[in-house]
Amino acid sequence: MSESTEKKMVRLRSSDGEVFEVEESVAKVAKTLQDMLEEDCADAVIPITCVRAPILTKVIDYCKDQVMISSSSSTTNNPNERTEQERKAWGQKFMEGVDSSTLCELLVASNFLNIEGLLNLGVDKMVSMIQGKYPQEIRDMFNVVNDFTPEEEEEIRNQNAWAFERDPYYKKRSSSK
Amino acid sequence: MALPGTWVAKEKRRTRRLKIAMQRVRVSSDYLPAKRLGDSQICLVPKFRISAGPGAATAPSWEVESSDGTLLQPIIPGLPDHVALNCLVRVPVENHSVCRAVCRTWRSLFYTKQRFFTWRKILGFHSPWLFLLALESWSGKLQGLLLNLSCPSTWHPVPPIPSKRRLEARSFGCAAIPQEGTLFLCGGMMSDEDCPLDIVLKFEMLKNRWTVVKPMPAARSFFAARKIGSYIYAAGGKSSDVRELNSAQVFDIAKEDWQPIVDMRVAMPSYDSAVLDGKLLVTEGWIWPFMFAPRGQVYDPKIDRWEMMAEGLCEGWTGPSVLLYDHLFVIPEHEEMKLKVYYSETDTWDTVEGNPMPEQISKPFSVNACDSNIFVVGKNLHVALGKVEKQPFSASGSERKRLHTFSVKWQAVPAPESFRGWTPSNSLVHE
Repeated sequence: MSESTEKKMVRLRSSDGEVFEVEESVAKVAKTLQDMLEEDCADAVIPITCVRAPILTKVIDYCKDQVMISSSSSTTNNPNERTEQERKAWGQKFMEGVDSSTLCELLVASNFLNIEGLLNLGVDKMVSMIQGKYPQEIRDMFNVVNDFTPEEEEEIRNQNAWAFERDPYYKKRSSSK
Repeated sequence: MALPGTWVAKEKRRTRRLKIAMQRVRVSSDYLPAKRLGDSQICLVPKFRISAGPGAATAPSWEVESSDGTLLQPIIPGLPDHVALNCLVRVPVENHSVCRAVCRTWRSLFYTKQRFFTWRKILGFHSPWLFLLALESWSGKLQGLLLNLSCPSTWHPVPPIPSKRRLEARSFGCAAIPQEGTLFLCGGMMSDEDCPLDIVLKFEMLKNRWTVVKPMPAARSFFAARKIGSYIYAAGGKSSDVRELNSAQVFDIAKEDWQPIVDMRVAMPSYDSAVLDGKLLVTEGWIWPFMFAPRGQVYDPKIDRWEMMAEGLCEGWTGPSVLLYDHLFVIPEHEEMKLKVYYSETDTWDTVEGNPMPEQISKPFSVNACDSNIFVVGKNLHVALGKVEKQPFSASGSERKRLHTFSVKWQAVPAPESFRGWTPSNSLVHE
């Protein structure tokens, strides 16, 4: 895949106007950018219109890491190669401290740029954030509006839970956010 | 739910939209509005590429209207619905009742299991469950339990069986339609008296309910019941006067109706049965003190005929069986429960290489399989999960010709203490 020894740089502009210069290999982790670069987009600044600078920074961090792993994975005994467990731990660490609104933006960015790995990390994070929460906590987290009528709410309360389900209303639990 | 044709059309439209959008990106950013959190839809929709199998490529779009025509809010504000949907279909079932109560949009996904699992399927997820009928330790009553095979942790009870009669373990027939999550429980013997039954009960997992369907024409217990195609075959067993039966019937699943098929060659109860190459295999199993070799019969539904079973197959069938890689595997009740596999080319059985069965598993046990995994449920409902691998056969050191051999790796999935004393009867896999 290496065309020249000189590292080709690519410039990306976030929605709020900040320009990032990254190596082409890093940009190419994003399939959307890869497709564009292969169709030769020359030296223009690529606008990433739905991604703000802080999110783009995080995305670039992810891409850089992916390049670091894959660049040395062809050689045997690669010190950077990760086991399944290490990858999981790394992913968890990468997503640590990401709040729900940042997560949504990260998901939008990785979906737009088509970065499968990051998208998967985001989805897993989202699921882990939902787990063990109560309806109001979920609404608060994701800005979802409670649009039930009182009758509908009553009906849901009375619906028999399926075999596995926790009771959404009556059990007390210590919250862990 | 939209028809597949419309999905394709939508997908095409989406791809075209994407292409146009991508061209815009290259020219100028001004065409694309910057999206903030809270915006409902993002018009750029590159195909969602989560590694979830072939279904993901043709995902239909999520309806934005509720049944009464009112516009629903986005699943998660700020996220394209298909991304949000891909998150929510991964939420474990324990949290569904909570998710259902979040808002109307979420309710429309989580309201029925049917809808939830349909979406999972559309997005290419595979969600197998193990259904087990087990005898409760304290009451001796038969109870249905489910184990989520994607992340097995504990058994979850399903509603009680709608029958006051107490059934003896393994006396009834059980057949499943794994793709639909439906199973049938037929006949059986009451545990407190010598009385076989003709009842047929249907359990639908997605609806989480039991229904009573048309009974069998003859009461039978300890018989063979297996699904082949869209039919369930019930053969042999013991009749009301505890005589052995040679009659057999077929149940049309769609019509829910029983019809007779040709009689078995000899009247025989069934210890175990299996379906191999589209034929129903029935064995009476070894009976203490193991003086005589067991009898076995094979039914071919294509020509409606019974044959006696090959000797090697019948003699080596020493435990509950399971079908994997189109081969019959048996966990012997004796012989230290070492998994063995049948080769029809040579009519012989071979022990499968691998670590021993986890020691938690003790008799009586029930066996089933899904993909390349075997699930053995033992007493106290501990589970052994066996990953079976197929290798090409290396010819060295043996003259016997076969295409491949198998190996197994066992792993224990202990059940919670609360299932101590429970006894497994029949298990089935739902996909």
